[in-house]
Amino acid sequence: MDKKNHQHETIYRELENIVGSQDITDKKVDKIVYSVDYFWIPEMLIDRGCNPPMADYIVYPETTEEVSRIIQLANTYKIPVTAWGGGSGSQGGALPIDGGIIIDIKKLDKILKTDEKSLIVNTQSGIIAQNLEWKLNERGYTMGHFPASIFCATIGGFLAHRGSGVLSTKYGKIEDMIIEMEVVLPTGEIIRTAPVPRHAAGPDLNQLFIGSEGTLGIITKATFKIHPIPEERRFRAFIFKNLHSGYEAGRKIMTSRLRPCTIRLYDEVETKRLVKRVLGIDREGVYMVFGFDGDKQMVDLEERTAIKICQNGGGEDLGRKGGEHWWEHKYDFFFPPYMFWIPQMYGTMDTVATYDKMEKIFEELKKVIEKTYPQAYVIAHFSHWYEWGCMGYVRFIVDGPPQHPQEARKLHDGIWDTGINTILANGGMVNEHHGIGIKLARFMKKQYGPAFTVMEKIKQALDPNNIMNPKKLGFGG
Amino acid sequence: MLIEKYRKTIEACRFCPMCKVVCTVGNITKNEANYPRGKALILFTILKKMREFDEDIVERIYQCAICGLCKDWCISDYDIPELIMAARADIVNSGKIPSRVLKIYENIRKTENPYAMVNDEKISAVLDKEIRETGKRAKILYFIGDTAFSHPEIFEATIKIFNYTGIDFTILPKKNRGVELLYQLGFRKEAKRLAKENAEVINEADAEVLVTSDADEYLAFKREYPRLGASLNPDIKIMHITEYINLLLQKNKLSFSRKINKSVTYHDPSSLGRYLGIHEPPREVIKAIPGIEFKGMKWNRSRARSCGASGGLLFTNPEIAAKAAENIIDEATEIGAEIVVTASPLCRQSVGDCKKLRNSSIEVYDIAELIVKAF
Ligand SMILES: Cc1cc2nc3c(=O)[nH]c(=O)nc-3n(C[C@H](O)[C@H](O)[C@H](O)COP(=O)(O)OP(=O)(O)OC[C@H]3O[C@@H](n4cnc5c(N)ncnc54)[C@H](O)[C@@H]3O)c2cc1C
Ligand code: SF4
Ligand code: SF4
Repeated sequence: MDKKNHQHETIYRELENIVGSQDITDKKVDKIVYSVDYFWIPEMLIDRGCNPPMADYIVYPETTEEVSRIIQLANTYKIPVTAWGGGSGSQGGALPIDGGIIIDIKKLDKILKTDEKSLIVNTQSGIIAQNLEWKLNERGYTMGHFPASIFCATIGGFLAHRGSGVLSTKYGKIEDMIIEMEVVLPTGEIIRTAPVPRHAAGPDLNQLFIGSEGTLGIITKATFKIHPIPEERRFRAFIFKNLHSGYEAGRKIMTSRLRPCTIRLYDEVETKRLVKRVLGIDREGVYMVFGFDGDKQMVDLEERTAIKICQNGGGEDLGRKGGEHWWEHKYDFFFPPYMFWIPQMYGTMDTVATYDKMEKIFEELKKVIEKTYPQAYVIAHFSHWYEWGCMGYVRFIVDGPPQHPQEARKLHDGIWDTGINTILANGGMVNEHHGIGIKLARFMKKQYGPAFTVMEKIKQALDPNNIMNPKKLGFGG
Repeated sequence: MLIEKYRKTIEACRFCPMCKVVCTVGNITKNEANYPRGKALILFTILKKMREFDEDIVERIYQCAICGLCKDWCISDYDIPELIMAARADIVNSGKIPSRVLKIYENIRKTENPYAMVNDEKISAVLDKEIRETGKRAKILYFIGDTAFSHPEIFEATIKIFNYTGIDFTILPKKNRGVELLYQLGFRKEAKRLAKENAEVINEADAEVLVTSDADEYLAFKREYPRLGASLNPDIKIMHITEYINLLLQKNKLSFSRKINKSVTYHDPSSLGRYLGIHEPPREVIKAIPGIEFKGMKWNRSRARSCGASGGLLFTNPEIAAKAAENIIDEATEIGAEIVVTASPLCRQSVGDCKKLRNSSIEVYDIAELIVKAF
């Protein structure tokens, strides 16, 4: 008897016993699709006719208990387990690079309870974010989480990657929205974090698992803050002569402690190419849109102050129409043919830093990448603004990358090395909201220095067999 | 290969997850291979010659309702339904037809009906009772369609409507063989043959208006016949029964004498709504019936959920289709409807059968069945 086949069949049957025959597949046709997420490398490999690493089994548990039993089984056989939500991650986080079991979370998609007194919602983690938002909207509420991948990513995936949406400036990143969670640990125990996130009973367990990318367990349920749909939500656009004046206006809006729901500032190239192409606004300079929402009188007041700041900074007011148009089409940027896609090579180096550093980081990134790799160009917009700094959504694009997979990869990784090293050298974070996955794993030690051992030790303690999403987040495999 | 024609769609969709939230089949199975991205990715591996159509790929390609929700959702004009139909035609051409699909084909060949459950006696009984003469010349030619044929209560109701209004009508002497299902399953040669034969008898019937209650065949007349080279006489006006009845209502040639005191919702068939843009006539007809409280579905018109009947899914993957139909019942329950009306015998079958399974008190009717209740 072929030992490998025997083992495969045995594990298959055991998994089938847990989830049922309708909730498991080991068909190659499925495994190929699960070998590609939104990371450029597996896309490129498929494009070039190569196969990225594949899982051995894909299972679709329908309860937390099933997740737990699958993980226990994986510990018995010491085979890797990778959580898969919507597969929209851009960092290769959900890729089964060492094979093993993919746990597709999407059948855990029930909204369990909406508590209208406390304004919180408890949901299973595999629900697609837009489905949760739609259901909340029916009752007059919103989560305030509007990422461009809202139509395809799961709420658990956002927790796993510390994701954020276009209104994060007011509503926060996903880690700001959390109340409590249910997690299946790497050894199969089912735990709940504390009932509320503000307490003085030791470290915040929520924040241990948020951002852990399936390496410390699988999030199966979560409770989030929700908000009444605001009475008024308004957007307004400005054109600034250059990036610096737009950036300063944005910074001043934030440091004067206004609470916009969004500020988005596009650099000259994005304004000229993307804003023009998607929104039809054809202007020289840089396009900025900001928005306020809530009580109408407050919105009036805050908007007036923000307009003044922008006008004082030399901005030309495009009025509400120029801003509302962005809101209506905010996701269009991510549909083909507007999105960058193969044959192009591209990557998003979203980074975050304090206001004193962010501008310089972008300038350096652009200068260094475009100089070192003349075939690449660098563009950016700045969104997700905080009281102390903001995020730069910096992208590099190469229009005609090499066809040979190894050469393409070499160029890709080289640009990333140059980019991330520049970011780190200038005080930026390795990533702001897309996560680490395998794409940025090699930079984690550099980012954290000795502090990374804290994470490594937690990983070793929680996952003694190192089965949970090996090689991701800078942990070994 | 026919899919080559859709290379642009394949290359755009293979890495794009943006319509995931609406995909009928994907959101039931949750299998990434069932969403548009997965489908396009698989077909890319075929184009790239990394793989050939094998049993598993073929199975996934038939797991699609051709419902068009993805296409409607997409802000660009990439066309997954057309791509999948092309892939199925390639599968048929390559001879790798799965047994479930082959069975439907055989049924159609042997009995001229995909269900192979044509009860000739029952059909004749209805025809004899409701009309005296078939095949004569008349202004209106009623095309029953193969789904209604296996549900005589639907065409019985439709014929009652014609009789009630005193309209001079006829039905085709031969069985009304469906083209759309064959086309959607990839049997293009057979679809073409039938379309041409049907076109010939329809043209010979020399009617002014061709009326059908079969939304899929209506789609076939409008979309498939022209591309299959089956020419219908351009002087014959083609109408869906809901358009025709709405016209009668507007001309005051039809009125209702009985009230139906129920809350009613309307399920838009993909073929009629999304593909042909016929949203209002069925709604107007329902609203014209006295007593009815009309409750719109949350997902409606071009964004209506699919009941899983189309694309051959009801035959090839009844378990998936049943879950899609359950979604319709769930939505109707949520909005508080007592009756779900649809304007396609196929949808009526899918949603109606599901109701039986779920023991719900909701009633499901084809629009013709509802109308005759108000006479
Ligand atoms: C077009 C497009 C636009 C995007 N825009 C945004 C944006 O605006 N904001 C943003 O934040 N991101 C954005 N992203 C990135 C992506 O959507 C996010 O990273 C998202 O969090 C991934 O969620 P997912 O469900 O697809 O997870 P996957 O890609 O399936 O998985 C991501 C990681 O999370 C782990 N994981 C998944 N579910 C769980 C779970 N329940 N428990 C533990 N670990 C889990 C996986 O193992 C993997 O490591 C975008 C992506 C695309 C394709
Ligand atoms: S149909 Fe549009 S949204 Fe769907 S996968 Fe294709 S390009 Fe993306
Ligand atoms: S046609 Fe319907 S079932 Fe098929 S991929 Fe599109 S949305 Fe999904």
